[in-house]
Amino acid sequence: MVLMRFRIHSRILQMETDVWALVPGPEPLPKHGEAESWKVLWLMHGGVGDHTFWLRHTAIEEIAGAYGNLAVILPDAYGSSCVDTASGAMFGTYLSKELPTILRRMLPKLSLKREDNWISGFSNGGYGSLYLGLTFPESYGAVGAFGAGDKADADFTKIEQEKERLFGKGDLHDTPYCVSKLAKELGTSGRLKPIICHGCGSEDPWRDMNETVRDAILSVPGDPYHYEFRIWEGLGHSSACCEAAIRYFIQKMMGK
Amino acid sequence: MNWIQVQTFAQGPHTYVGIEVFLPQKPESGERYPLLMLLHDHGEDRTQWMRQARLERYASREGVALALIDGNQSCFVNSVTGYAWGDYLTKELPEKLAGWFPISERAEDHWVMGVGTGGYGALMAVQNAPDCFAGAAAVNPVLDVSCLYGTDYEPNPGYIFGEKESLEEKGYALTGRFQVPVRIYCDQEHLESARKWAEKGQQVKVEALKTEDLLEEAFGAYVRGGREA
Repeated sequence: MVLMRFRIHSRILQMETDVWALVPGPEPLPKHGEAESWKVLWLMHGGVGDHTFWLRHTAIEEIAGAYGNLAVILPDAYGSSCVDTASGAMFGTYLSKELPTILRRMLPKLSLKREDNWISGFSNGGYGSLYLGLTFPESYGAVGAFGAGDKADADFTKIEQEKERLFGKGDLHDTPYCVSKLAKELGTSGRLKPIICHGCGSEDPWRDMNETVRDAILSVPGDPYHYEFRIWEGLGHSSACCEAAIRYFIQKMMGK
Repeated sequence: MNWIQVQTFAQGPHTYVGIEVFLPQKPESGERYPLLMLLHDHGEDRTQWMRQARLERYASREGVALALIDGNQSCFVNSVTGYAWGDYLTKELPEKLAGWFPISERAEDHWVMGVGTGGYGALMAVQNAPDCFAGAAAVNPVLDVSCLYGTDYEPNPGYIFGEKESLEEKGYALTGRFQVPVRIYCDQEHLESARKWAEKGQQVKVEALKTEDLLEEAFGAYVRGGREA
């Protein structure tokens, strides 16, 4: 594939920020206007990570490059967990609204179709994928959330200030940061709903938090998310699990 | 401007190359930008132009997209040893860029500009492939690569151009006679020889650079108006 490293200006974040992209190539490409568009995987890094994470720790280029019409977008979400934070930084809106607008102007082949745009990530990025997919369901046809629990169920005792900055004070279960609540609310609304593929390693220390989210999504009547939950046997909260999960998700979405 | 660092495989030279791309800040849907490709000097790399000139100041105002490309030590021509850097520059690169980005695919919107040996490469590009460009510019270009033989130049010029005696025969000699407009920008040291060289030429103009910021002065002049014939 072709690696592109974008340095873009975000008005929402009020900063210059990095976005990496893997796009189909390097074979000669059809000219503008010819019928070709790329499906788009918006791929989020975890809490201790940045836009370089997936390239450095997984075989994402090899996996995505096998298809020839899939672009992978790797933004830097810093430590935001991809949310519109309680203290003001609007990472969720940047990732789901502003960034696609900016990139589609520069890469006209990125598909505009909702069903061709998928949000995925691991750990904090997995939580972020659920949050983004359920908060901005018109932007994404599918969510691939891996090693992903609900921040509303998380233990913040050692990082109380960080928690306040991102999500505000107090219990999060009745806030827009609770993905179980978001799943129930969206699931019973008339809005569009993304497909959700979710899972973690069998040895993931936060496996129970994944399963709590699983149970909440399964409790929504009618399975509006065509929900799938998977356990990767023998894997922990690790880059090996990242790779296994993203390989599975891409195969599922590409239909082979 | 938007700055994009591209890493891709290039068929011509059969290697991975870096490309620094600058796109005007607010590409509107459907609009495609004219393209200026910038070629570095011997011993430099694709970042030379962005380190030695404030490119964005001029290019953003004029709405021109830029591509700063690597030529490694090729002088941007097809080598006798089979590395087709010239084909990469004249055909493959503009096609790739117009395929990825909102950049015009029309030859009349493509220009090439180089410094030193990259200046030689830019002039060779329009000499060999005049149908691919609207024009070219060179800053203190090497106008005769035979001067590289017998010096400590690395690599041995024989690996690029072959025998010194056969430069003309193999098509590595600049004729000075161009089918598209060519601008040559020179400092005092290079000015006289370039003017003399251009006397017998066709469609080539030589201009003197006045400041020490050679690349910025030349780039600004070319982008702002020098591209017009």
